Amino acid sequence: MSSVRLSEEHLTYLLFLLRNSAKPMTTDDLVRALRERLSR
Amino acid sequence: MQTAEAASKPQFVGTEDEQRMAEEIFQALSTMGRLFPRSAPIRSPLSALAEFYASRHGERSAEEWSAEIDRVLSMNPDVFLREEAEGRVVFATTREGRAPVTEEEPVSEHTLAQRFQEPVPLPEQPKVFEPRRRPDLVGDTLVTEPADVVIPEITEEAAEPLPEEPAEIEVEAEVEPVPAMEAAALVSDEELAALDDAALAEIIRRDLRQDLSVANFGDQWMMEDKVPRLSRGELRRIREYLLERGEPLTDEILLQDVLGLNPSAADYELMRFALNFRLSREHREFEFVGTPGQRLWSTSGLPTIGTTKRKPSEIGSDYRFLLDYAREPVEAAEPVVEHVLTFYEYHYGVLPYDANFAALLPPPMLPDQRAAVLVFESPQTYETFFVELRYPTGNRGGYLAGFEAFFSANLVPGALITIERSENDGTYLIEYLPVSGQDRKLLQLDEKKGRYVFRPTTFYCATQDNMLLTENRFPRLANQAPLEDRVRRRPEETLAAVFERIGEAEGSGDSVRYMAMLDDLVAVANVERPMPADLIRDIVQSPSNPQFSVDPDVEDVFYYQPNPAE
Repeated sequence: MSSVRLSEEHLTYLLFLLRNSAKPMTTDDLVRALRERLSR
Repeated sequence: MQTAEAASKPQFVGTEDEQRMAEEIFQALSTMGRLFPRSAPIRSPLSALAEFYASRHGERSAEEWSAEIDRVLSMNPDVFLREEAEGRVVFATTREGRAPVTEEEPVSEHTLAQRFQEPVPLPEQPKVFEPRRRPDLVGDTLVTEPADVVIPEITEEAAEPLPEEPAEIEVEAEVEPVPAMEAAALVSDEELAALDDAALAEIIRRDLRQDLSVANFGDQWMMEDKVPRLSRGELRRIREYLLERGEPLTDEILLQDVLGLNPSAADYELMRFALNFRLSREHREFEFVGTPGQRLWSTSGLPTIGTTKRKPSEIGSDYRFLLDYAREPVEAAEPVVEHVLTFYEYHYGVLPYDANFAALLPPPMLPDQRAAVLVFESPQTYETFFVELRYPTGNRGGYLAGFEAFFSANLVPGALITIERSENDGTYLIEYLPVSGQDRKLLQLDEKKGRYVFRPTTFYCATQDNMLLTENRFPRLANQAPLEDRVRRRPEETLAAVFERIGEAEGSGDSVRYMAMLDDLVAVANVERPMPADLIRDIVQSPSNPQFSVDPDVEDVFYYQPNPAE
């Protein structure tokens, strides 16, 4: 697993979510959001 | 359009550790400048790099890392460019992993510092700078230290690629929330979607921790620049409050009592994160010693938890064997551990962080967390006390300390105890089975004389007989002195000494051989140092210890021959 990295676009998407959140997000929130994006 | 491109992987020189450090810093800088042109310099002052590195490798402070980072990066001039300006050191690299080309004649009249001091008329066509001003959406997200990182390079070299880049950057930002982009991925979307939640979470954690602009505490994330800051005065008041109360306090107590926040306030959760994150950056003054359910903070100067009879580092070394016996903790059906107290544990008020306890107790919440302070409640004696869980390190085993007073007031070596997790992962119940008074002559250490003695003792707890150190069982222990430290540091030598103390001697002179049973060896070896039955069995059976042997006919009967025949 150590060799696996998120692509730039997924990482930027997570940063976008964080930037637009007024509260701290949990890792679970981010996993859910990424899954949702992957399923689209 | 974003294009697929292979990640640059420069080669670093130096030892493995030095290469790892250079690689980690290069990754951090590349992440910081991920939207920069491939050959554009990404700069960061040494102090910021040191602070970043110290936040991930807490064994040294930022100041101490600073010199090391300076040395290691300077060993890689092909990748990092070292610059000194106005008394501070700045390192620069590029996304393609090559040191940026130094300007032969720096244009001094347009440095930012100079322009602040001597304002000059704005250039007629400021649009030269526009391409570098990325849309807020992405630009702010990616840059933690704007002053240090995005100072526009007014040099031909840096400005050259600009006319080509803007379109790419703008588009990249605009398509942000839209899926179906071309992946510049190191892992495909299908592979990513196939991972389970835990694996995906691990990748997210690792990648986000690389990003200096993201604040992280435990399982929570936020953009660093959106996390409210604590003033020096607030930090000072928090420290003073901890010292005044004389014990570690939870984040909620600090928020309410020191910062005066009401739990029903709209920004309570935000401020809770801010407090935890900001305190976690103050390595010198504050230490996180909590668990996910009980976020405790400590500061230097609080009373130490645990025995003063032996140094924590020595106890950790005594438990070093646990590192070799580390198993994946398996969560038991019930959150309870039963344990028989050894003399060593009773004497120092400690318990081993072995596989059973590791399954019961919380793992470290932060990557570099050294210890967790847990609350133990004894419903039988109405006591509540703090216990420090010291996590294992590279060469020391983990253990729990702080039971000294409880053990000595209520139990004897050999007592059977149970430890149960409450609803909160920071609070545990400790219980024993009460029985009617038992009178025995039990082994104790006369600390004044430095000798073991048997004293009449009345106790009211259930015990496991094979761990009870009574005079009837081990009369020869009376008046023995504790083993010297150099002997008890080595399990093999300790075991040999235990054979000599309690074993039955056969033969004499050079051919003398001692025989002992495992139960007796475990009980007595654990007077000197932690030594579970598994460890004793392994020592006796190991071919590298020919002085020990196993009885071929009777189970768990062992021999020790000081001078084994060749």
